[in-house]
Amino acid sequence: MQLCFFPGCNTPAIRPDVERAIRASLPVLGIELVDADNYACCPAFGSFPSADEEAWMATSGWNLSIAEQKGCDFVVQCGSCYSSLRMGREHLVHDAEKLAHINELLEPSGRQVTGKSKVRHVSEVLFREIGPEKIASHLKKTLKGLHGIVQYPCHTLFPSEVVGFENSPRAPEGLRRLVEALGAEVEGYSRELQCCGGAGGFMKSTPEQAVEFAKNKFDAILDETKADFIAVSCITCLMHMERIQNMCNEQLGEERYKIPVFDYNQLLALCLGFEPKQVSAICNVPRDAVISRLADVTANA
Amino acid sequence: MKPQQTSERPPTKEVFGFQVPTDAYYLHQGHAWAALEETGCVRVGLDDFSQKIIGPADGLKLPGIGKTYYQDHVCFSLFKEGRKASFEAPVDGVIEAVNPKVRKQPKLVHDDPYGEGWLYRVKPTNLQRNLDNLFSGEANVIYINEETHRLLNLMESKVGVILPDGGTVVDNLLGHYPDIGWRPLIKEFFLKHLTTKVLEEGSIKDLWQDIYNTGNLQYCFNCSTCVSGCPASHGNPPLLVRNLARKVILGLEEELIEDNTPWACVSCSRCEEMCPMNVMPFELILSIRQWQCRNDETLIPSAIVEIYKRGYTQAVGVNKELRESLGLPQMNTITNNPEQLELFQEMLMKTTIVSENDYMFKG
Repeated sequence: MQLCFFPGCNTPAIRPDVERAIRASLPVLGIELVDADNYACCPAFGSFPSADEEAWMATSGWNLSIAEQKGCDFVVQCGSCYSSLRMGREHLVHDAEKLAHINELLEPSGRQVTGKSKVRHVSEVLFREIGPEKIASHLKKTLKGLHGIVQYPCHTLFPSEVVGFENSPRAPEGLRRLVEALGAEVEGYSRELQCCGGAGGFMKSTPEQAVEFAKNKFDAILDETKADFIAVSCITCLMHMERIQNMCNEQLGEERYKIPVFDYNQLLALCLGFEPKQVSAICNVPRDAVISRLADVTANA
Repeated sequence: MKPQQTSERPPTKEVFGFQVPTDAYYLHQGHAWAALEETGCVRVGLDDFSQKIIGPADGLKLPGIGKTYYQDHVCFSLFKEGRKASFEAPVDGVIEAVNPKVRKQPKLVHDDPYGEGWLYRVKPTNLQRNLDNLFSGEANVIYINEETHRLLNLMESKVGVILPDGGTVVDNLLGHYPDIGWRPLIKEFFLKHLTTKVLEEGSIKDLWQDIYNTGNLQYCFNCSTCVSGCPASHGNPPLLVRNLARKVILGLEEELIEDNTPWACVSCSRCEEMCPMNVMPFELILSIRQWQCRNDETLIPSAIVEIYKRGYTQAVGVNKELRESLGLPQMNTITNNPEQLELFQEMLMKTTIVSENDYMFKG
């Protein structure tokens, strides 16, 4: 199966090791990735969607036309990119007048958008298209003996009508099943579905309250679970959940919050045998405690 | 008052160095003037107070001929060194003509504000009622006197400058004291409808039609489901989506334009999922932000300028060494592809928000 990879901006610019993990893992599992040449910002919710719908749709149309031209669907890791592209497509396919207008704007660049290409989140492709069983059958390493918790990206859950792929957005299971496929034990906890709080203006406008909000979540993780790591599936969750832990430590004056955070694709790539130096190179909370405990599958068999 | 000819200038009185017309010219609280002509048209310009604050402009954006503008609504702009100052129309009407001289020589607005520096001529559509909201005669002097006192307080608090007794305010004030801040000053003195216009009692506007034209908004019964679980509801001040819905439904325009809580939204869309009445609160928040941007361009997020200039909000495709060290291919991005970037920019330039605020995207 062929999918057009939409990298977003934070991943290729700041955390390209996550991009490396995706580009490494998916082909092993039978997904051929084609590049989204000359893509633009998704656009981020704080940009055009907050200023003007027409420019939002034009930018969405610019991007969607790339996948359509390649004749396949998009695969996206970033939650915001995924949601913005899904919403953009939704607005366009349900409004013929809007669609015609955006095509007029796209025409001079030789582009066209019809809505025929869909936008898929990488965790949905892994969960629904490939499936935990197939993933488990390809592993060279395992997370056996490790405890993890999962952070579902809000943008893949809500609004379920537009972005959802879980049976119930109130009781998602995809990411848990995917992490379990790698051999780890995934624990639930009371604040599992609490947003990381990292996107939008919350952190910028009232950082003190935003840190407090996230701290409650981390306290719940520490008090209720034996988590050795956090598995996320969105670049904002990844960056924010690391940053918040460091801020909480600073505030507290001790290193209470130090749970390594991984994008799921990084854990997957590590378990498929790829080099930590390539697929898990960049972090702000040390990950050695997890990476050193990766075990060979054959040794356990 | 008798109608004025274009070539005439009104009698003026000096207030702290500002020339204030004492006859024939009506002043709008946003510092535009309006003068009745014999033809029944109204000539519009900017007062000396505004010009001494901003200094000589290097560009203008005048209203389109044939277009209709309304009193208190943003109508035209001056540019100076890449910054923009917008002004409100003093009267309702259809634009008949713009002054060709100021187009060629924008500094005329500053050098001869009540004469050659006029801006446009409008055929009024609601003149008597509009005039009731304008100052004239001695009231002009009182108004500029009050404005100057507000200005002096601001200067004292922001840059610590105190005007000696009998002194005059320096010409090109912002040029001399840039620390007062361009945008705050523009907002404070020239875009007053955003802060001071009070709704007439009993006239609930159909604001929702301007902001969020879906019938479902009316079904909101303030249940607060949108607030529970909202990360930004923990902020200070909290984002309370139901309150925003109420402000829109009740037409509380002035409160809404000043409300910056919609910008704290993290876009998680929980409210969108959980709202029992399908109001789609996240789309409401985006719509409120868009409406605020339409009414006050200072709120337009700078991220759209970054996206216009390089395609992304981050520096994508330039970290070549890091990518290489991770075994990643180099990226074919529009930042690295001038031809595609140009096509992207041309497309955006055709959208309303970019073309109407094109000054932001240049340079």
